[in-house]
Amino acid sequence: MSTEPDDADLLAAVARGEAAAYAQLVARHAPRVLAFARAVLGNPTEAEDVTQEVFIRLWQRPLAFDAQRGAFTTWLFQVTRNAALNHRERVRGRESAWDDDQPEPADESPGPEDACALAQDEARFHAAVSQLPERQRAALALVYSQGLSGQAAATALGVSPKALESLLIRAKRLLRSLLAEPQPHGDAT
Amino acid sequence: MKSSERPERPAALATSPLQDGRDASPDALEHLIQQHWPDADASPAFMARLQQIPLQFPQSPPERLRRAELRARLIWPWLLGGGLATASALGGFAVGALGLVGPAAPVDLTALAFGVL
Repeated sequence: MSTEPDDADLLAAVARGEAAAYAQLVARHAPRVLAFARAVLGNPTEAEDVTQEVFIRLWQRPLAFDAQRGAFTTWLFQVTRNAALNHRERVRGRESAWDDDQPEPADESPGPEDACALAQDEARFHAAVSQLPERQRAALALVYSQGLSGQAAATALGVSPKALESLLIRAKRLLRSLLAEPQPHGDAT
Repeated sequence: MKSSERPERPAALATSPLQDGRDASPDALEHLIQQHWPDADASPAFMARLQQIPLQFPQSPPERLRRAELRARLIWPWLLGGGLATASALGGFAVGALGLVGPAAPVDLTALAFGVL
């Protein structure tokens, strides 16, 4: 792992037109970009479109990243969020929802009863998350799902660390109250 | 998302706070977020689609070369201008030098002609 080239080296190679370096960047970052795009948009198909848009841009304009302004991943999340918001603008009016076409079960595969409980929990949690405002969802995604530091997450969202903290507090408060509400049965999506 | 990049999920998923009494204290909530945040596993087909981007959107020319080309576009007129100015100065100097020699030459040639005659 330590022998792998870092992102800056790969970007320099991409700028020289090396597709192999681009492929490495895709393998390294595409899942995170996709996850974050999905957190912002709440729609897996749109998240894929946005992720593709981000990587087209990365391929065509690798020198848009300035290492002096911060980490590559922070910049990537910034670009992803902007692309997602632009995408949202373009398709405004369409309802977004957390679709449950995915989550791959964890490796420790629970038994049938556990799996059922897990599915209910996840569906319930996803439904609550989908009701959060976009900024709050993005803040939660960056900090708790992507594991970014407060500073990096704040930079990616274009807010101060204090504002990020406030976003997280409000997000968690809202999420808590949404989870406390009784859930209507029969609609798992 | 790769499972290695996510916070590890505890084995006892069925006993999550969501199910047992809706316990959503701050710590439990953060744990829940990490545990249940929707995965967005990139399918092999989608990853393959991303890998195709260099074939569908060729860099022509690569960005660094494009920048070098832009710089060259700005520099060449200056170099050309400088070259022309130098050539012009050298030409002027040559003409000037001929001008200095010139008045004497016809006289000498005339004298030489008369001498021959």
